[in-house]
Amino acid sequence: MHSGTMRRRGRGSRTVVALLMLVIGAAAFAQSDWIYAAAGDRFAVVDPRDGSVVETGRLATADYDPAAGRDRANIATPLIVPTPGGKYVFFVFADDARAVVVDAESHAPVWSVELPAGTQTISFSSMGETILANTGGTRWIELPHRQGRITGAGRTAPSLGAGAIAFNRRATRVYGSRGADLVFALTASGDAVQTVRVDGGPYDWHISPNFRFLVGVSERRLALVDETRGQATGYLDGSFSGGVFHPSSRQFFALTADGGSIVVAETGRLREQSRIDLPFRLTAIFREESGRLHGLSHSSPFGAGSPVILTDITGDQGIVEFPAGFAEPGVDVAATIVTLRPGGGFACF
Amino acid sequence: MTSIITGLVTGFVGGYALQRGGFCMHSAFRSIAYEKDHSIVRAWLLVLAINIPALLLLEQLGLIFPARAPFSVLAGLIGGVVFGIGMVLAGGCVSGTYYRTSKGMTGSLVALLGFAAGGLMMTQGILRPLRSWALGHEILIAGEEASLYNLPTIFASGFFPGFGLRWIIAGVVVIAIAIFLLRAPKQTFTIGWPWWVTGIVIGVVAIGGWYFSSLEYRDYGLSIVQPTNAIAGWLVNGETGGINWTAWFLIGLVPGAFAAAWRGGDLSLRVPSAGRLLQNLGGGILMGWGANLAGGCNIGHGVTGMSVLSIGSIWATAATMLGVWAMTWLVFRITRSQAGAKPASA
Amino acid sequence: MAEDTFDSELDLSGEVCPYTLVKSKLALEDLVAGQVLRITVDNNESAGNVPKGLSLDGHEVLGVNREGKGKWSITVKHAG
Repeated sequence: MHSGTMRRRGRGSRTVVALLMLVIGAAAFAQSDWIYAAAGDRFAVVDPRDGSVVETGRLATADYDPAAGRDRANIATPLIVPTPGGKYVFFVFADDARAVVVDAESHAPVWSVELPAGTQTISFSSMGETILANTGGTRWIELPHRQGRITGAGRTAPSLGAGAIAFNRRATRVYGSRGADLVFALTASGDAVQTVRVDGGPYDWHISPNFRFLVGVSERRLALVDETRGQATGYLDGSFSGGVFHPSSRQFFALTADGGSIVVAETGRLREQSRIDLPFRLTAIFREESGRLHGLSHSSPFGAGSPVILTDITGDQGIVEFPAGFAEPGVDVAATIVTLRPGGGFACF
Repeated sequence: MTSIITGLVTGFVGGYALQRGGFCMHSAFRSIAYEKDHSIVRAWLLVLAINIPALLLLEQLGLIFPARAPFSVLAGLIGGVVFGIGMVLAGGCVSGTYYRTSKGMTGSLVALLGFAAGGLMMTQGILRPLRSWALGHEILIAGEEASLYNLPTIFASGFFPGFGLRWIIAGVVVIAIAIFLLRAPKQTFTIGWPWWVTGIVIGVVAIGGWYFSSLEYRDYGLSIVQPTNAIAGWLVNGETGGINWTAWFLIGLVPGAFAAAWRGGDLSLRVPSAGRLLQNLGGGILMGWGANLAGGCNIGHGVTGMSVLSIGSIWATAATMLGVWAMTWLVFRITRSQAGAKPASA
Repeated sequence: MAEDTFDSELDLSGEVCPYTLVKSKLALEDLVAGQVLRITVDNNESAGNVPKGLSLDGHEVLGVNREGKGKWSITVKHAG
């Protein structure tokens, strides 16, 4: 009687082991990170794992070409904004109020979308169903979005200041500046839920991956707000130009305004934990889902002062040079990280 | 790798506890309306009474960051009732079908396959538009998912509930549960663990679910629906995006329940009649539809969501009970009329 | 043993709750006070739930025995 049970268990455990190995193998390539860079009407895709340039090309589609009717040197470098799932990357040409959309799986421009006149920046809601476009000053326009396309008419959104805004998990709340304060507003109506007095505002607001903390970045200081308490809980003096959260939400990496170092602040009281001195000045930093940090420099001593991507800031500092002719002299380079999350989402428990 | 090991270990303990404690939430829900023995209800309420303050503390300490299910009146009501009806036909809740499958009950295995198929139909297949429609009507409180914690904001516009008020609300709920539990009669005819052992062990496992999930930046606790879909989706479409800690938990749960059944001498292959198997399959499919429409099952809503006092979860769980009671009533009627035609006893 | 003699027998192998308890109750309804019903179930949850439920209904559970792997018998006396 017992031997029968034993035999059945043996077979069962072998099946479980086989299933485990299959799942582990398949899960290994579930997610991928790419660094997308742009200079004028050119774009490049860098694989952060080995620093190879996997794709370069022109940001032009059948219905839109940013180079049409102007010199290449006069094309302002677009802002790069990926959708939350990472499937599409929007390259926003503010001068033309238009965005070229690149499919992040094939790394190819697929179509362009028209944005409201005067659009300077765009922000995607956390679930990607809404785009908020800043059309200058404190004016924002809300647009419905699905699968890389704008699917309806825009409507005037609440005033949220000129700085960067942030959304909560399901984009039911939006966070932005009103005057010097931080306001928690309802995305649907713009009504304020909570107004948090923050010293030294306005700030560019960043929300942590767990949606509990908001960090404001300015040229005078950093500010930390606890979303659940609705209060400012810490400040850190210094001049900063940008930053990113660690995936754990426990640390914020702030890039100093001179681009020479990264201040690591913890998200309890915003105390400085450490400082990473950079070998040369960075204009932007971004991170992979794993927490690895990468940066963009306009003025490295390598490659005769041309722009480079610095991979793994905290590690061995690999340096990626762009192919010849990518950036015309004097043209800005923009770069950001795009994380593809296939099948990701928060629809069901 | 940590996620895989903690998931498998927690799952093993959870599966063992479900099996030894006979933690069948279908029986618990049914017993509220139809039976005098409420020991599984007590085990369930003890899980909640342990989790509510523990999770609030972990949230205040910044160790977990609970998300809450959206409160959609239609999705919760229709999904919950259909899920409850399915549970009666399948002969167990979702966690119940997992641990019963592990002790060799083929009816539960068939229900489980139906559940996975029903889930794929609702999330990726032909019923997806229904789900989008039902989920479209959501009730928010101050731009947040509704919970008992932010409910006071409805009565005082512009009021922002901090942790002080949250502790008072949690305290009231826990004291109410404690009063009911302390009045429990002595448990008789117990096979396996008494209700309070089951409640404590599953309570600790549920806290582990929140904590370990938070380590991989997933802000929810135990769930069965999501990982079942993820594993089914992976087997069917090859997509691994949804494989997370809860999937490892689920994979660990099966051998845990198996081990408990072995120790308890309850391990043997049991095959019901063909008619009963078909009924289990139908019940499983209904469960898959209902749980995915409601956005969770007896674990995702009934344990995890209710532990963070989510109104969407309380609503969906109440609707599930309604479905269970209605279907059980019907089963009583049908069985009685069949018995009337043909005497059941020899 | 008193448990060995019974007036009626009900085999519920292959059944799970709620059918086990429902059918047990119905079978008891066919008996009169003092008569004994022997019920066979194939899982330990029913072996716990059925006597618990019947006992709380006022019937006298005479015994719950494990007959073998995946087999339990419950003998219960109709209380009337």
